[in-house]
Amino acid sequence: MSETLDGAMAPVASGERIDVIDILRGMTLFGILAANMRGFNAPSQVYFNIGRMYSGTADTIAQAFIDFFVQGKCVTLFAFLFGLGFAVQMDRAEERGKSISFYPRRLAILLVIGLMHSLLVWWGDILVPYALMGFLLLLFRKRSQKTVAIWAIVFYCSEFLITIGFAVWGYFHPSAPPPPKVKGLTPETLHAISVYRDGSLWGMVQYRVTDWFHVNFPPFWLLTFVFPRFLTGLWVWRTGVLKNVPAYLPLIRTICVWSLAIGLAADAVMAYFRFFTPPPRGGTLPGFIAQVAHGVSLPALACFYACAVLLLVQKQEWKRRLAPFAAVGRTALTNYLLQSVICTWFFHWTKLFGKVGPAMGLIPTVALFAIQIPVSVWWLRHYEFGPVEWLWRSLTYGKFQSMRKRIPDPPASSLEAVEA
Amino acid sequence: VSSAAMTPVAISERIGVIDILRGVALFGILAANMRGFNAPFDLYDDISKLFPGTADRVAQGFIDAVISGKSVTLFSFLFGLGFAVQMSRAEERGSSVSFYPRRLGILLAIGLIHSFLIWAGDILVCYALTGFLLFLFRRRSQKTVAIWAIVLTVLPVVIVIAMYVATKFGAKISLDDPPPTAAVIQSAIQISRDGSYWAMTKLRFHDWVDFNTILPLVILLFTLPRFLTGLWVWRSGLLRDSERYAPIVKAVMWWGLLIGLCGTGVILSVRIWFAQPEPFVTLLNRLAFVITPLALASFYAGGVLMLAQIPKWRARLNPFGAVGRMALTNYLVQSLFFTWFFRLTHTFGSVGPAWGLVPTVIFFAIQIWFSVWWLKHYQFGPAEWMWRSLTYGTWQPMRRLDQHLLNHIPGYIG
Repeated sequence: MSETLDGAMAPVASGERIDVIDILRGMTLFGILAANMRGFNAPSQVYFNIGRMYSGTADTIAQAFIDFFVQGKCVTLFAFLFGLGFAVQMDRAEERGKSISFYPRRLAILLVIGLMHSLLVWWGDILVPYALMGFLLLLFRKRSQKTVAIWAIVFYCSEFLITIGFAVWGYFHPSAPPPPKVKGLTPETLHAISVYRDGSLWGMVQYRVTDWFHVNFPPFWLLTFVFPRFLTGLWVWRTGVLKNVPAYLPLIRTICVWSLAIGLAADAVMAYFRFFTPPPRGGTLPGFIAQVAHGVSLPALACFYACAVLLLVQKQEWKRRLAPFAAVGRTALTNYLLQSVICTWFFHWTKLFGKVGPAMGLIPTVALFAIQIPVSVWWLRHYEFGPVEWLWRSLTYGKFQSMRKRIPDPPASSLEAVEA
Repeated sequence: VSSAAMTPVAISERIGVIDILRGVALFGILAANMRGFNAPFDLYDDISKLFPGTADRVAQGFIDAVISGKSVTLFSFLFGLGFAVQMSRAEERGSSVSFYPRRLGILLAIGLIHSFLIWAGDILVCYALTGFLLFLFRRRSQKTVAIWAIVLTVLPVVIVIAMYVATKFGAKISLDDPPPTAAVIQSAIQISRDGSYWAMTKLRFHDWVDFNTILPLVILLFTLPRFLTGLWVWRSGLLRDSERYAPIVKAVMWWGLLIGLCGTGVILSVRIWFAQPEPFVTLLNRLAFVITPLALASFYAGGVLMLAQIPKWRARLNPFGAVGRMALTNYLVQSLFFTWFFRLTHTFGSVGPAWGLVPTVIFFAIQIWFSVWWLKHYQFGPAEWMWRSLTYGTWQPMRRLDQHLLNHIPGYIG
C-alpha cells in the first residue's frame, strides 16, 4: 500500500494532462464500440430489440452481457467526461487569463463534424447532441456548484417523469389500438437492411438522413440523457476530487462499492423483467419498473467503472497496464470516427450487414479495438494530436497547429515521460 | 435590509405600456385558443375538418392570418421582458434574486394544475420551464443574449431549409402525425359533452402529452428566443426612453408589417390553392410560418407603443392595461370558463370559428370591464395575489392601500 502511494501522492498540477481522465476515456471507447456494433451491422429499427433478428442462445447471452454491463453505461461516462473536459478547459483558459471565445467555435466545428458523420457515415452519431448540449453547458460556466447540482438532478429525474407520463398516456389512451404483433421483421426493417447491404453510396446517404431523423426526433434524450451527464462532469471536476485523488481514496472506495451494489441490483431487476416475465411494454407497470431500473443502472454502473479505474490507477503496476488506453483516450474523436467509418464500410463492402449477430459481433469489436490501442500509442509517440483532433484545433484557432512532436518520447512509456 | 430585500415590487413602479401590450395579447390568446376550448384537440391545426363551411373557413383564416402565433409570440416576449424588469429592480434595490426560482416553481405548479384539471393547451408549464433557462442569462452580457436570441430564432429557418434539402434528395421526413380518424373525433366530442369529469381528465391528459411531445423543441426554438428578445429589449432601455427610440420602433414596426404581410400572403395562398403542396411550396410555407409571427408581432408591439404615446389613444388603451396587469388571472379564467361553458351548454363541437368570434369578443369585453373594476379595489388579480403570496411565503396585502398606509409598510418606500 505504502509503495503504491509513493508515486501517487504528488497531486497532479492543473495545467498538466490528467492521465486518469484519458485512461477512462480510452476504456470508455471500447464500451462505445461494443454497444454500437449492432448499430453498425443491423438497422436502427432493431437497435433496442436486436433479438428480433438474432434469437439464438449465444446471441441472446452476448447481447444481454452488453446490455447489462456496457450499453448506456459507456455513453454515460463519455458524456460525463465531455462535461469534465469542458470544465478543465474553462479552468485553464481562466488560469491563463484567456478569453473563452474559442469554446463556442470549438463546439461549432464539432457540430459540423457531427453532421458529416451523421450524414455520410452513421445514423447513431453522438457528436451533434454533444455539440448542441455543449452550448447549453456554456451557460453554467459561472454558476455555483449548488445550481449545477440542482439542474443535474432535475434533468436526471425528468427522464423518469417522462417515462411516467408516457405510461399514464398509454393507459389513458381512449381508443388505443393493440400494438401490432409482427412475427419477424417489419417491411421497413427489411428495406433498411437491403439499403445498407446492397444499396449505392448515394442511396445509403438518402436513407441515412431519414434514419437519423427518426432516431433523433423528438430529441428528448439530448436533455434527459446527455445534458445531466455533462453537468455531472462539470460538477465533479469542480469538487477538486480529481486534482487530489489520494486524499479522497476512502470516499472513492465507498462510492465504488455502493454504486456497484445499486447498479447490479437495478440490472437484476431489468434481467428479471427481461427473461422471466413476458417482455414489458410501455404503459404497463412491469414496463415502467424495467425502465426506471434501466435509468438507475446506467449512472450507477458508470460511476462504479469510473471509481474502479480511479482506484486501480493508484497502483503503479496497474497504471502501467492501463497507460495504453490513455493514448486511445487522447485521440478519442479520431478513434470514435474511425470505429464508425471502418465498421459501417466493412459490413457494407463485405455484404455482411444484417448477418452478424451480437455474439459474432464481439470478434470485430475486440479485433478493431485491439488494433486501435497500438496505433494510437504509436501515433502519439510521433505526433502531438490525433489527426481529427489536429484538424479540430486548427479550425478552432484559425491556423494550422503543429502536429509533429518537437521532442519524440523514448519508446518505453510515453505517459511517464509526459508526466515527468 | 433583509425584510426589504425580499419584498415584491410596488405597484406604482409598473410600466403602463407593457401592461397594455399584455392585455392586447391576451385578447389574441383567447381568440386563438377558442378552437381548443370548443373542439377536440386533435383538430387544433385543422379545424376545417369539423367546420368546412365558408364562413368558418374565412373566420379561421382571419384568426390564423392576424392572430394565431402572433399573440403568443408577444406574450412570450413580454414574459421575458417582465423577467428583466424584476431582475433589474431586485438589483437596483440590492436584494437577492432567489425569489425568482420560487416564483417559477409556483408558476409551474399552477401550470400543471391548469394542464391536468382544466385545459390541455396550457402554456404556463412551458413558460415556467423556459423561465428557468432565462434565469441563467441574468448576468450575461447584452451581446451574449443577442447572439443566443438570434441563433435560436434563425435555427428553425435553418432546420426547415435542411429538411427541404433532405426531402429533395430523397429522404423521407414527416413532421405531421396521421390525421385523426372520425371515430376518435366523435369519441372526444362525446366525452367533452357528456363524459364524466374523470373521462375528460383522461382525455385531457392524453391531449396534453400529444401536445407536449415536442416541448423541448418548443422551449428551445420558440419560447426561449422570444424570452431572450424581451430580456434584451428591456435592458436596451428602449421602453424607458421611447421618444429617443421612436425612429427605431417605427422602422421595426413598418418592416414587420411588410414582411408579415408577405408571409401571410404565402400562407394563405398555400392554404387556398395547394391541397397537396410540392416540397418547395412546403418549404416556403414553413418559412412563412416561422417568420410571419415574429414580423407581425413586432408590428403590433410597435403599433401599440406608438399609439400609447398619443394621449387620446393612451386613454383608450388603458383598460387593456388593467387586463394585462392581471394576465394570469384572466388567462386562467378564459380556459376555466370556456371549457365548462361549452360542456354545460352541450355546444362542444358545434360552435365553429365564425360563431366562436361572438363569445370571444363578448367575454373579452367583460374581462376588460371586470379587470378595471377589480384593480380599482384591489392591488392584484386573485391569481397574481396567490402567486405572490406563495412566492414570498406571506400573505400579500390584496386591498388597495392609500399612500399614507403604504408609507408605513417597509419595502414600499423608495
